[in-house]
Amino acid sequence: MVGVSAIQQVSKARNGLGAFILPCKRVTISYCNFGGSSAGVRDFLRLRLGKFAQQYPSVEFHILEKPGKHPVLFGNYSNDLTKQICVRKWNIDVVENKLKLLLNASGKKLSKPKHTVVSQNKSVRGIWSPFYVQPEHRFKI
Amino acid sequence: MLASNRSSIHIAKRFISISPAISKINTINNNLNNNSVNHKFKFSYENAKNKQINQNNLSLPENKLDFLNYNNNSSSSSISLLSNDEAKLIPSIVALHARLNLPKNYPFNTLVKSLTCPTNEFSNLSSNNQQLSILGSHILSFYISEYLMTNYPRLPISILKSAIDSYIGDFSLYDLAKNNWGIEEDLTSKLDKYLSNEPEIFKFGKLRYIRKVTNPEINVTKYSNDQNSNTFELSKAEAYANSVRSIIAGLYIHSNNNDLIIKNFINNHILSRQIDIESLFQFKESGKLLSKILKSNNLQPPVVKLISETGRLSSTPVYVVGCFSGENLLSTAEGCSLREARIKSFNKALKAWYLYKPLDTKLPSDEGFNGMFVDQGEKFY
Repeated sequence: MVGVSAIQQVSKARNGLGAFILPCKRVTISYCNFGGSSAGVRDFLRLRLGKFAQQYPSVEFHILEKPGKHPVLFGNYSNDLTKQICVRKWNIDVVENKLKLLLNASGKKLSKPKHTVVSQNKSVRGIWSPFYVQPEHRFKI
Repeated sequence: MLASNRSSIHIAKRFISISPAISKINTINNNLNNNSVNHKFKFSYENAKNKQINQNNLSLPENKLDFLNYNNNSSSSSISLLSNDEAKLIPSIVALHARLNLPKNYPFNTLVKSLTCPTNEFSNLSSNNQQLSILGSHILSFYISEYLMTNYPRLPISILKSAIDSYIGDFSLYDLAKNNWGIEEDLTSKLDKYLSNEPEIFKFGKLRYIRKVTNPEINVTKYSNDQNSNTFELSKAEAYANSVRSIIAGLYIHSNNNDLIIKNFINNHILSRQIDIESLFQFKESGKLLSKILKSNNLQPPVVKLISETGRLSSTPVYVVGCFSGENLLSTAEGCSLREARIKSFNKALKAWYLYKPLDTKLPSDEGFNGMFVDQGEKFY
């Protein structure tokens, strides 16, 4: 159309507004079958993993044997980032809590929020203008 | 009435093909060569690459207008990619099925097929997502354009196209597939897979395509031993987008004619994404356009009046102007010069016109849809 041209745009994701998809897509549990530091993880794999994994059908659980290494939990997220937690010497309960921590994370790097509200939308109110003030109350030079 | 008409319609044999794009030279040659009825046909939905099907592979219905019963045996007779039970063994496929909250009757091997872009290995129509993605793109464009046309009935066609593209263009669907759904592409080589003890079948859980190399490195010549491979090359965004389209087409096929499933899926995953339609507009000579619109609606021509100003002699003056049509204030705008404020006010007035949004809209695919207000458009064009 004459006079009106279009600028290309890419839609932005708003996860949770329609469907919510867990950002964590894969969890990898590495352990040693012999080492004492993996005792808690081995307990977890033996006693709890089956039920635990059923609660999170949308997440892949990979079990990786790394002989002679301390046990580590890895979380892979849909933003291509990976988080890892070393669980050496930790007991079964701590391992489960650390796994929950990974599963519930957004995958973003931890940072201190600078603003109290973070929004994709433009401010409804708009920027402040001196003309909001009544003419008789305006500052006069 | 209609059925009786149908039976009486006589269709010449030459015109059986659904697509008008059947090449005439070929059929003539065939007739000359073997004098037989071995015509070649092209289904319009098959693909855009002029792939033709021999009549031997095509089972035609008795009633030529019975479009549902045209069958292409050349693809259905071949073996499909993976069986559903095999596909169930791939963790990433099972996880993707759960992530998308797909219905239980959605087979896992459809997901595998959706993630398989055409390659030399999977060039068979039934083993790759080529046809699924075409169906999916049509479904998507139907639901998205329906939503935009009813919610913004006055959008100019260029903006409407751009808005549809920003919902279901390659880059948006790429972002959806990669950063939301978590689909991964298969980047590892066969050797890597062998060394990592990964089962052969696991590669089907990832997106596989032939990467288009647009800018090869300097002093590097692109080598390919197969000239055919060029036809399958896809960019990263295209490959991801096609997988999304195919998954949606699969949902449509397995939804048992329940449109609500596909509609909710598109609402939840694609229409829930954010686009800013207001910022799609770019006006040229907005004042002329505005006065044309006002004239065609029997309103008075636009007049811009200064409402307030500050610092006219300073380096940063601010002017607030209003665009009036007779008594009616169309828009207000502020600017650093009178000219800027004036043009901004025109743009705002135009946007207020074009972005008109009726309340409580019902989509044509909704139940109880009673027609809608359709704008007369720009009569002056």
